[in-house]
Amino acid sequence: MPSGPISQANPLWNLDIPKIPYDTTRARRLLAAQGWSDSDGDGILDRDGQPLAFELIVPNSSPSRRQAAIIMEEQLRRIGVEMHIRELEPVSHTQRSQRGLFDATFFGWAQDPKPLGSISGTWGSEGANNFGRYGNPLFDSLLAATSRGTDAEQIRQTWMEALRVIQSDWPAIWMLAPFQVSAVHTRLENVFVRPDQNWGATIWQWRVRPDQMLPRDRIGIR
Amino acid sequence: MTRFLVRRILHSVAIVFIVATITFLLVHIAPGDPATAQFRDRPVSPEIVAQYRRDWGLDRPLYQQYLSYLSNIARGNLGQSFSLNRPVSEVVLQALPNTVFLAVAALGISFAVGIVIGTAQGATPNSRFDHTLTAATLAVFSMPIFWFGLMMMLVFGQWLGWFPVSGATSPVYSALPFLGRVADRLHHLVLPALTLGLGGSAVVARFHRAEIAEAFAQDFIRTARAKGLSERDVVLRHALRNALLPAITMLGLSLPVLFSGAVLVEHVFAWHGMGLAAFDAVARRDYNVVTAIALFGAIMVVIGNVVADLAYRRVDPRTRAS
Repeated sequence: MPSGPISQANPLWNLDIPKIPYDTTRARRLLAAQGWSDSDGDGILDRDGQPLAFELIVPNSSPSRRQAAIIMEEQLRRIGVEMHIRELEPVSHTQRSQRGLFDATFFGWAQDPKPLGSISGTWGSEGANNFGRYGNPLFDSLLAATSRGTDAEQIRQTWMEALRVIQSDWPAIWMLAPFQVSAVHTRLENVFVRPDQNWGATIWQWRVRPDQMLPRDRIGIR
Repeated sequence: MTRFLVRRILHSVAIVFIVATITFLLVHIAPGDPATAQFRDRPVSPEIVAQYRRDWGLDRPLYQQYLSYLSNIARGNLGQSFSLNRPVSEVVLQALPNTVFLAVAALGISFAVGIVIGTAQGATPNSRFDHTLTAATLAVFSMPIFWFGLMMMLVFGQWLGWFPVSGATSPVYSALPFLGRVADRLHHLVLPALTLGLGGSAVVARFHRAEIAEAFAQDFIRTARAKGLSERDVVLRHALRNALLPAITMLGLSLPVLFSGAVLVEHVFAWHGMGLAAFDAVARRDYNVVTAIALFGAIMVVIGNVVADLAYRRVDPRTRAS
């Protein structure tokens, strides 16, 4: 799990920030402290006659998110929380997320390679793509200081502080920052996979080694 | 005849206009727009999104967009694809031959197989053979076409390895000699055409069985038998010829079903035709491509129906007087 809203491609990526552990006993205790209990014995917590239930919208084009949503549904059921998964066509999912029409949305961002360039847009108070409407002036100012800085170590320290702030607020759970693993046959040379692009972006530059060519590779070669 | 033709052509133009309007409205009321689809998972600034909408005229009121759309298609201008940044005419003309190729092959299979099965059943009504074929055709007809396609891929592509399961040509197609290209195309055509064609053949067979059974109850069949003709001649020369007339109407009616089925079959077999292009265009909210494909589909269907009507008038003298 990533430690915040940042991908491995970014030099500021680190996993040193402590994360909330998976602890169902503590989760149940925290919910009980807020007045949630299973008063009718149906396995779902409730308070003032209201069951603890919400809907998660997921784009039906993303197998990894659909599968992760099913695991989340099961894990939440264990602590008495009912999560309904609603799969939506991708553009509808984006539009509903943009308009804030969700209880919870499972969203994925493709971050640009510019350091922290898009984070103010997605998590800053004034961010146009801040779908969860998160707002913390301290986080905004730390992010701004990070963007202005020139000293690498100072930028890292400020960013770590910003991470601690957003983590204490937990406006979202950053589920995955997947590693893209590409296996390439040794017959090929000049293979380069860009970290910010699909593996096939440079395929036009790949070549089969001349001494490794099969008859099918020679079709059309004069 | 000329009056009939003019009336049918005017009807066809009205149908195409209605289809163009409904498609335009449907794609525009779908959630999101080309900008939402374009920047779906990229957190770009609102200024860039606004600029994109301005550049493509998406910020104008819907009625203005509709009027310029009508004015453009009236002049034969289908516009530019939002997602591919190419003229829509290029996108459609690239996909059209593949769809026509697949649809014609599927149509041929569905009528050839359907008529043979329907004739065999109609000639032996209520026999064990008839019941077995009824069960088989109903089973094929009931199968979702995408699932049937996947099963065809599994059996003939994966297990037996006889046919390719994806695409309309091989990667080395352009380097093949002429006959090699023809063979390559036909090899790739087999599974998608069978998937689309066999589904349709079940309908043709059910319909044709009833026609043959009805023909068998007619006086001219009794006369043919009384003349001492063999059963084979009775079936092929008398019952079949008469029962084929309604099949011409069915041919025209099959076209819309074929095109809608082609969307799924092209997607399953990654067949680069109009169905796959439409599927991708809908996902990207590429309004111009979606409306152009619907327009072309409508034009092809109305042409198919006019041709079927003309063919029917030609083979059935009773319809010429009306």
